[in-house]
Amino acid sequence: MASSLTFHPMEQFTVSPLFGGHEVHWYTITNQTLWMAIGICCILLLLVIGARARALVPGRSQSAAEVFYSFVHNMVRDVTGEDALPYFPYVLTIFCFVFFANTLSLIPTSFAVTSHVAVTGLLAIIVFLSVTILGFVKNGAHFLELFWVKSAPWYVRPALAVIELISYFVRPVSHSIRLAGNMMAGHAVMEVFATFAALIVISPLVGVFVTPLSLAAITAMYALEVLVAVVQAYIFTILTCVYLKDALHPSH
Amino acid sequence: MKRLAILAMLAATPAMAAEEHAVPFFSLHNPPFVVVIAFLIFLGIVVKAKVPGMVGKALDTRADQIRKDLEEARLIREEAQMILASYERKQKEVQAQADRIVAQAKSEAQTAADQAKADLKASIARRLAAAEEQIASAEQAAMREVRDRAITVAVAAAGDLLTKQMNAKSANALIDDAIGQVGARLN
Repeated sequence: MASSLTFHPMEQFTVSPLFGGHEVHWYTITNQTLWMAIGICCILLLLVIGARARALVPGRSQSAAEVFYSFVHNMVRDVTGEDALPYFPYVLTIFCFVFFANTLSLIPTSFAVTSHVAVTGLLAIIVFLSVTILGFVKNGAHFLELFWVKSAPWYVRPALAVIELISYFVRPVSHSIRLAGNMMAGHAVMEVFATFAALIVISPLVGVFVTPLSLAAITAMYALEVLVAVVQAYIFTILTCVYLKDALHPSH
Repeated sequence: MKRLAILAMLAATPAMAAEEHAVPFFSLHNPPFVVVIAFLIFLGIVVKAKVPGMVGKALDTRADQIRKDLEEARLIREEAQMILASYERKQKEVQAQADRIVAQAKSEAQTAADQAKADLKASIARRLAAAEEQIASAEQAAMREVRDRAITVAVAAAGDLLTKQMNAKSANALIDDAIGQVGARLN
């Protein structure tokens, strides 16, 4: 037994093979794979099984599915506009995946899929590439007007173009790190708080105060993390909508 | 969610035990276990605050709202159908009225045309009669004139003839005759 506190807050993010072995190949089924699959199963459960009744007056599960659907639908329409509705399925997919990955990671001993930049980065790159390609397909060379701020005086436009160009390419980075960082930080903080709970075993005098405090702190963190999980899923999705808007209407 | 958590714990336990600093799972030295406790406390608070009930209620309220909206839409639809029917009825009535007016106008026009035809006929007849009368009167006037002329011519011719045949002797005889006639008559 450890007689002092040892902190391993990042250990929970280790990707490890589920069926033995230590090396992770592209085909290795890891805890990452498992929790992504669970997330996808939850989406299926909600949107396919839950909405199976297709009743005109929805039951509870169908109502929940409809709330999801209409929430994202309204978001796409309000942020991006009516002409972006063909891309709504893509946005809904992103929202559902991130939402369930985030919320499932709150289950203790589960694996936080979206705390890995490998996951969020790929999502962000797919968004970046599809939005860029869509922008050029829809607008041709006019898409470059996105970088040429016509509302600014002519002499600052070149400088702004450079800034706009940089900020455009930084988008996938900020897009992915915002989500991964938030998820990772919350889980790491909880783990650090949890480590303090062992103090009552090491030194009962201090532990009497610290251990309940750490439990209370983690409980409070849970409330915060539920909020963060939902809000980050929302932010990731709404940013996708904003980028999509730029692709559809590039001129300032 | 809870069931999933238990499943996850069961799945995770052997892996945890195999970790390098061999801490048993159910120990305060094992942070994941502490997190599990905090998670259960959190869930307890959530259940105590009746959050699941509230969520369920919100979903039910939504269903009720949808049902109410549907009912309302149905009512509005029925009302609209009623209005439509009444307008259709009105339109039919108006159509009938219009037909009636047209028929009446037609018959009136027919009557007027007949009347006009009859009038025309009468007027033609009248004019014809007038013309005939005029012709007749003109004829009579002409005949009268011819007759007058003939008389005048005959008197003149007789005068001429008498003047040519009369001499003194015959004139005296005529006068004597006449005086004799007068004397005989006076007596």
